[in-house]
Amino acid sequence: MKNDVKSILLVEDSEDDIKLTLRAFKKNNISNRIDVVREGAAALAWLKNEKKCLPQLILLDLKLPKIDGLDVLKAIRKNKRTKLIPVVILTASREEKDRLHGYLNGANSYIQKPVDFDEFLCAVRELGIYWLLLNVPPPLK
Amino acid sequence: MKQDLALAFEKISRAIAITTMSFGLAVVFGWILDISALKSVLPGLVTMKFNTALAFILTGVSFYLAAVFPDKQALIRISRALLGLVVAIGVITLAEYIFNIDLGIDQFFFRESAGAVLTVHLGRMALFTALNFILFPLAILSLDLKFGNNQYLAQYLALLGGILAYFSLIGYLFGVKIFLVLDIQFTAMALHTAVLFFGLALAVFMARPKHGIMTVFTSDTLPGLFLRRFVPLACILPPFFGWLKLVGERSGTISNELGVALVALCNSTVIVFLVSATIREADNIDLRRKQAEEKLYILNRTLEQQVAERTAQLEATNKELETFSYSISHDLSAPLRVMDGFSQAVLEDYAEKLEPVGKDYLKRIRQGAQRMSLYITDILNLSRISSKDIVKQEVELSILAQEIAAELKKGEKKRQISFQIKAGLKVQSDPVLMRSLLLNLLGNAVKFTGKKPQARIEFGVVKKAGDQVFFIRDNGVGFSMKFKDKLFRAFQRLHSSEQFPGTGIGLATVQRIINRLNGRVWAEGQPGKGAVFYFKI
Repeated sequence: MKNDVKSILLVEDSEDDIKLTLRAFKKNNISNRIDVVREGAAALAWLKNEKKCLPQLILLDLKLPKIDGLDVLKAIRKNKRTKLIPVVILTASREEKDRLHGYLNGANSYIQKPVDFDEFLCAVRELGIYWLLLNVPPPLK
Repeated sequence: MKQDLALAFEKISRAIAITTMSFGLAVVFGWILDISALKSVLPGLVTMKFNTALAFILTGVSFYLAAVFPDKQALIRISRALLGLVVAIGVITLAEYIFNIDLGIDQFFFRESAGAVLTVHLGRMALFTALNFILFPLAILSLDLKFGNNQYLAQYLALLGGILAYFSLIGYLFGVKIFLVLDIQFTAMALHTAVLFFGLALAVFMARPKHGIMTVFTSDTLPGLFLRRFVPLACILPPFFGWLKLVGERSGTISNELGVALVALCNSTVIVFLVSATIREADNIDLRRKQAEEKLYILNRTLEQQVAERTAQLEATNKELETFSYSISHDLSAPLRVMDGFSQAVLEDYAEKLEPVGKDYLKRIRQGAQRMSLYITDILNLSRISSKDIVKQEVELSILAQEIAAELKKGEKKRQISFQIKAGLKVQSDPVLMRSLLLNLLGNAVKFTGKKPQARIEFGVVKKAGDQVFFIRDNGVGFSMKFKDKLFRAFQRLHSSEQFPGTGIGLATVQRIINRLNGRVWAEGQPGKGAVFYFKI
């Protein structure tokens, strides 16, 4: 099912966080399609599926069951088809180690989820404007 | 060091000084009362001259003073004057011998009756005696005079004097005059004179058990043992065997050849016995030393192992702590986000169904969640200070403070804060920790001047006891010095969070940074009159 609309892939295991993130997008009037996968393996399967159109942006949580976020990122960057997709790490972690390894493995951006929902709204708005409107994406097949 | 031996030596040396003085006195009385036993010990022996007896009294007294009161200047001066007198007696007598003249001191006090035994010039002391009365006073004067590598003039002087006395003693033992009178022109040294001089020689050595050769003599080492064992016996044994031979020969019981053979045999036997006994003892000492070394080695090894184990434990704990803080940062803030986010969602989506009180409650839930999130951030920062690697480099504190002040001003647009930051302050330290330190201290100052319309915050440096002490002074609410110890503890707040917001971790962070840098931080304040925070690194 091909789709010309710029879509977002959200990789997140927590139902709460999914709801809040989706709400933040809605509140900011970002109407792009958002696909949600709930574990690392599912994310990789989703991306491998040739029938599906590749997303314009991947929002990736780090702490995921079974295959964690960093491994998903590594796999995305290894795969010829997906290696150019912008990946934004969206996590609660404030660890230096996570930041370092995130960028080392080719993340395009790293955003800490703030506790204050108003701040989170701001963050998502900026993120949407930047990655979906301002940023010119790499040519994808 | 054999401490008790050293102490005993000092005591013996003082006793010899007193004995010398007493003998001198006895002989003086002998002259006054004309008691020949006091003057010459045995009939037929040479007398101790009156001048000699007098010089012994003076030597004994001054030696005692020098040994017992080395700090009392007045007594030392007396001691030196007396010694000078003795040297004068010695020098004058020596001059009489050398220039063959009579300077009138020989019979100055007493006239010796003509025909005195082994006396060339009546009343004049022997040549060696005169010489010794120059040597010994000089030795006593120079007891602490060191030269070269642990060498002492006094010990050489005493050795020479002792040998001269020893010659005379050997002469008396064998009944020969060769040592007593090298030339018929010379008067012999009296028996008790020789004994006293020999004693004085010992006393000079013993007076300073930590000087020169005496360091070895009184030490616990093997050379010390050898020295203590062999020196006294080398002085006593051969003459003793020689004397036995002489007695045997004179009584006709043994022939000369047999005597020589027996002396040789005795000397060899005693030396062999003594050497083997000493070697066995030395071996024991060596063995004990080796055992002690081994014990020490094992102890060291155990210690190293313990240190390694502890370090490993510490590393493991640190690792655990790291994992712990990671999970706190990640897992603890997730539920807070949920609480805050959905409270906000309810406030927005169901606003018309909620009464004002309900809305207020939801806002309070959000505030609680946000406050908790602040705590988590602060605690994590606090725990990170301990595990951070310290990188020392030059940090421009003034520039750093300016930057932080500008940041802080942005957050406080409603009021006037004037920062006075002394220019050019630098320190060798970790830049990250320094930033955190200044941020916390300046932030603290900004916070607690919150109720002042005109806040003044100063950052500068003072010299205290030669150290560079930085300070941050504000004109805020201040604090009572009663609480100065509580100030730097985590979660300790002197003001309610309604009055001044915050987690109560800022100053604990400051303290921990200072601890990591081995510095010191303290505060002075007065309620209502502001506070000063000092730190040095």
